[in-house]
Amino acid sequence: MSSAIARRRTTVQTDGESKARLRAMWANLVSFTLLLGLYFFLYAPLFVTALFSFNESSVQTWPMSGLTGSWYGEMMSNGPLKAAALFSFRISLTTVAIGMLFGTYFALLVSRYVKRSRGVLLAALATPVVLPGVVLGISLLVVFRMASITPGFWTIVVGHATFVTPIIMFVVLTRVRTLDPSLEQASFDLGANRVQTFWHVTLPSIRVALMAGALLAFTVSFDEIIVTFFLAGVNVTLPVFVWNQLRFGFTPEVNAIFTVIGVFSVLLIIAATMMLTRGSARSSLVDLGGAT
Amino acid sequence: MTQTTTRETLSVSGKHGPPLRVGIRALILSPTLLWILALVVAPNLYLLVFSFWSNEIGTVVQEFTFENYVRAFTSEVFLTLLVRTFLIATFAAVMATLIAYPGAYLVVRKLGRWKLAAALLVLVPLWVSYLMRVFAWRIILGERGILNGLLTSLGILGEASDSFLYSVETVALTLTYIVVPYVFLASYSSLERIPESLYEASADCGGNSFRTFVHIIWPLSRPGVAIGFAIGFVIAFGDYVTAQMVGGLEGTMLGTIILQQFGTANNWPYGAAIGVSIMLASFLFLAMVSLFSRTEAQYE
Repeated sequence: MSSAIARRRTTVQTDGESKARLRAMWANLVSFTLLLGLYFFLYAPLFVTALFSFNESSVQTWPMSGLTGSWYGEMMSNGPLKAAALFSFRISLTTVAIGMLFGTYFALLVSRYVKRSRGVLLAALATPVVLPGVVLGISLLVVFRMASITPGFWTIVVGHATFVTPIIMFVVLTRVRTLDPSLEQASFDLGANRVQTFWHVTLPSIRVALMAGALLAFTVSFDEIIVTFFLAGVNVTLPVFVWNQLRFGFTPEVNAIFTVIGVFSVLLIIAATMMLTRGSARSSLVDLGGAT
Repeated sequence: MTQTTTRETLSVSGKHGPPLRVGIRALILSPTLLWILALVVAPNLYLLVFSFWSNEIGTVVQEFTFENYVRAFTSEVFLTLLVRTFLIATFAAVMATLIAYPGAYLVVRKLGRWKLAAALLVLVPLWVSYLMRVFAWRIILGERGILNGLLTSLGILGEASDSFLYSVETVALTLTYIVVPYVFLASYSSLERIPESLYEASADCGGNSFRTFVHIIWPLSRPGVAIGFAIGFVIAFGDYVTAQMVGGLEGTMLGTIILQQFGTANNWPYGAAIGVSIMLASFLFLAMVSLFSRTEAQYE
């Protein structure tokens, strides 16, 4: 097919051929330069921060005075920092667990049991994602205050769950839409009830998407600051802790923390992407294998 | 009659298993409704109610009053910040669209089978710490930062300038940087869906790449770009961290006042009123964007 098109093109080409080719070359050159510019704009600031995490001087001056790994050492021996990091992990893990449970339930509900009100339900569930962060933060804060709930671990978890759950829901929903309904029908025909069908047929089919959505949600939750700031009590999450440090003076170990978080998140995202792409490549075989 | 309507709204099609009794259907649906009620409806409702209450020496007086809105919309500070926040967010969204949309177009058209990897590469910064992406600009633009270092060593500047950081422009630039990946994501997914055959058909009809773009690609991708533009605007509009980190006094945005009212100033009702104003302003903006981006174009 493509060779046929190519052949037709060559016959059409005439004297202007070399001129056209030159122009195409120029166009490509310009395109790639522009794209390189885009990537430079996106990545240069990140690499600058990573680079400065090895800067010997405690002042952020250019050119750097020398290389050192001491900020990483200092980061590791910073007690409050480690406490904040641990707190963040607990928050994000709890949030993701809630998000996986409800995200799957919402996705199945929306795709299976609701028809006419589907759009309304989806819009309502996704509202916290599209609200400006500062508005979501204060609206939750106000509700917690009206219910006399003191800010702390659970207020942050609930706050995060409001925007993390829809994220997982949408990832699972894309997978559910491509599921072959005959698998579930077969399960019902063979006498399985809904719970059995979900456990042995549906869940294995959406497992990969669910895990990928969970990883994505984890990075979002772990990094969140705008909403978290309003909902945190005495204990703060890692981003809020770092932000407080930056507001009241600067220590270069912040660069080291950023670099570690950045590398960690990127690794999670690579894992999630690989799971999703691999899952879709051999989907049907895996589904059948999981069902038996 | 009621029986049939409930059945239709909850429509349990035989396709997905045996029919369910109404009670069980309600049981399945109720956690969702509870979730929406508690985490979506109640917060926004209470925020609205709070904004109509007043504040007396740190305690909330639960009586209906317009005084917060009157105070806000007669306050010079609030109005200045509202306009500034609006301009900054618009600038960031427009710039990010001007950068991300052509970028997405080039990735889709020029990179062939590498396009997915190239697109993911644009999205990676989204998952690198948000604070880091803001803070990096302090290292770059600071008085002793990289830009000053480069400019002075090249002899372009006699001595380091302190005017790069802590200004409205810095906030706008940093927010542009923050929202580029979001706009890219929306642009990419709308451009990527346009089938190759449309480009070929246009070329066969004698359209060059410019005309193909203007008459076919732009009308088809416009709704996607509008979504990206709107997301970028809302994110920039509701941000206060960036303004606090790189804006200084001159670059203060609306979010910072909210932070003050819920913090040191301890006037929650006034803060709530500003929050409601932000929400309404962004919804108004989104509605306008969706109105202007409507397209008659269809394919498939």
